[in-house]
Amino acid sequence: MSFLEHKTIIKEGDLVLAFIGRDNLKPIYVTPGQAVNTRYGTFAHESMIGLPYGSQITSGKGYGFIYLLHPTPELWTISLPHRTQIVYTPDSSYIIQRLNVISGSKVIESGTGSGSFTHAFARTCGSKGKVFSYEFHEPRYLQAKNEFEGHGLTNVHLTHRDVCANGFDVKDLQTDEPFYADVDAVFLDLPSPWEAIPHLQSVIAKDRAVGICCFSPCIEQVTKTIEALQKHGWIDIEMTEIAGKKWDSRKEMIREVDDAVERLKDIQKRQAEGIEKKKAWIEMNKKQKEKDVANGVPLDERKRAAQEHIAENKRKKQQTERDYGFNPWVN
Amino acid sequence: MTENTLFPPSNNIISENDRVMILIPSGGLRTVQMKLGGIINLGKFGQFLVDNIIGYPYGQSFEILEDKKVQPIKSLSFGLEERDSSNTEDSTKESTPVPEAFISSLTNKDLVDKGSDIQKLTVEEIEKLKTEGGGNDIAKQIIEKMIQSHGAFDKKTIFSQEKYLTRKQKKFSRRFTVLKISPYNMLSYLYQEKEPARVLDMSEETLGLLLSHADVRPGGNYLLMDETGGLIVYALMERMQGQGTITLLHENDQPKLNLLDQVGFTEEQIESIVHPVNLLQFLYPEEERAKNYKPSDEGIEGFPENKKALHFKRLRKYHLLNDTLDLVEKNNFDGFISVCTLNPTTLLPKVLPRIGGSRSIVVYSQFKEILVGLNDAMMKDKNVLMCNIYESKVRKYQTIPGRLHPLMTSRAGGGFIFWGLRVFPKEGIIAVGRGMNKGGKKQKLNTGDAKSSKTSTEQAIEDPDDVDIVIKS
Repeated sequence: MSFLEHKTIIKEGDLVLAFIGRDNLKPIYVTPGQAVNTRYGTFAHESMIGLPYGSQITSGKGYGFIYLLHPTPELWTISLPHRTQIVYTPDSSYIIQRLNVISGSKVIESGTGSGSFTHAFARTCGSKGKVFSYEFHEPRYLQAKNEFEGHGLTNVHLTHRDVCANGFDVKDLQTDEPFYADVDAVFLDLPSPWEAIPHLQSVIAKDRAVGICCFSPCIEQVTKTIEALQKHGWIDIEMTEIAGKKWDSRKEMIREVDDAVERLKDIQKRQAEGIEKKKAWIEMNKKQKEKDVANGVPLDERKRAAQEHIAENKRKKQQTERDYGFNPWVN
Repeated sequence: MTENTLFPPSNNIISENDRVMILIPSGGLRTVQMKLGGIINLGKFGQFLVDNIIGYPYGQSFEILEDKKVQPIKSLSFGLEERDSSNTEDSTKESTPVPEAFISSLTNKDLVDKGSDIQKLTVEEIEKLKTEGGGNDIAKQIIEKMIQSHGAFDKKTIFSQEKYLTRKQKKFSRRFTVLKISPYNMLSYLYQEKEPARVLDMSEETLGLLLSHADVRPGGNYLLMDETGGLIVYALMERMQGQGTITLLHENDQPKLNLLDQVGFTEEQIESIVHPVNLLQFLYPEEERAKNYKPSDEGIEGFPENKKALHFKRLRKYHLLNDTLDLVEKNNFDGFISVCTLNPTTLLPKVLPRIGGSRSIVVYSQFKEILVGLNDAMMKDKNVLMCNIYESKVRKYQTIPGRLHPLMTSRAGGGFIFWGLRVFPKEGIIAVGRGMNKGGKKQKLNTGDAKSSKTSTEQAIEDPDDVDIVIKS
């Protein structure tokens, strides 16, 4: 039951999220004989058993690695197989908080979708609480059912139903006996929540305040939802919009204007020096030529000497470390 | 999971001695205790007897009548809704005027701003009216008189009239809502009433984000630094409902938890969950354990009652510290949450060894720059994986169908969250990377390679073709 409690050591059959790279987490059930195949190598499941969660392991070849992470609803949101658009952590964290969901809360969620938010609700409600989740799409319902069982979400009560048409009334999953859900909070992630709102009366708590959140991408949906909520006795209705941001960091140099000026001055100085040097070089060559001509050195000999001189200079330049000019950071 | 009997299922009925949050029409919040026979004075919004609201569910709104009596109403909102018919016989009586009852203009072309001249009713007259009664009927009378004395009310559009009424109702209505105290509204209250600096400028949505990223759940054992006077402790306790522990790391002789008295936790409840430990004890548990003397129970029989009580208190403290140090030395906390002004870049490396594998590290700061420094350091630290800085911001809307728009102003700031996972790196691991299979050239270590654009905890593969070769070889 690793989504509802913290485990320390990885055992056979446990769910592990293999960190392959950023935004690439692969859910695996530790099964001897199986292996995780990634572009970084192959990792045998056997090698994971007995290690603490958070361990880094290498592939069979000794290079390339993955990390073995403990499942949490937030990591599951990153790694889960998308079947629908999902609710991300900035939204789900705010909704859980505003609906006052705590350990022991009973919550309705419809539709289940990819089951991302179901995990967050289940974690916060804990084993004393209950999450009533409804999904009208059969393949999605079956997949979610399978997943929740595998993840040990024992506090999730999943129903295959179109709540807009058939309401929220629940039955015991074993005995099929109808019972009163008595829920504290409602989360509707449906294309037309206004069709589901009239059915809530028979399942929500009657002796205490109940919170509702309708999650819609379009403002037109919000307008219809507000009207339906007002009509069915909900009060203190407020629309909000969440902007979640993720920031990366990197190092950048803070440069000073004085340094930029110093650098320009340095360039000027070097240019002036360069011109002087070149002038001296030309002058020296001229003198050498005059001397050679006076001494009667043949042209071929003079050419060879000049080439040697250039090669020698080049070698010297390579040997001495290059001066990169003014640098405010090296002093 | 052991049952903590000190935390009964939460009570949803306003009961004697409860601490409650009162919401007044202006949007203001205040906390009061429900002492039988007590009178709650809401200033210009009137006063009422506590006994009259006991037994109603939390979330109920009331209208103040004469003689400190109250009458339940459907909601505090000024949507001009009818009174709750199940609770009162005169349900047809409107508590506030309805705009439809007045003549209105289609446009505002004839409306000219003449300043205060337009209102014939003087401030003195309004103040006099206010003293003439204690109930909401006075509010209704004042608003009606103000409309009658308004020189151009009929020149306003119906929307404008509605806005005018709402504004006046917020000012004069003698109504209130009783809310159950929650971390969410406590934070709103602290923000409104006190200095936001007290809660390090944290917004409600950032607190929610922090609790989710820290994976707070019933039964967890968390390490927490809380500089807000206990708000974060409270938020964790509320989520955990008596299951699990909070090891509260602090930098004083005693932790500061004054907020917990305000939200109504008993000392026993706090002690059963919160294990305080100061930085010295946390960093040097062995030395500090040696200094933790067990109080001698010699001659305890002969002690007077108060001395006996003190002895047991000391004994409890002794055991609590020992238990806390045990927890610290287990090096297996289910997460670290820091909401304090100590520099996290130097704090975190000292805390990391105490945190369990794959558990969350969540650091709050009101300044992004502080977290940028931390993030940069942690990208290089192989003990932390997937670190980033997160931010959440809520924009509230005017919520009237057909007239939805974002509110013109909202508060700035609200803080940032650093989130990373504690991991155990393996020594000398070689990452699969560029150049690995190019004629057996030097293998690239994934550690400390400054030229790699990726962080040290990530593998440096950019070209998938490179990789295919690796796997085939």
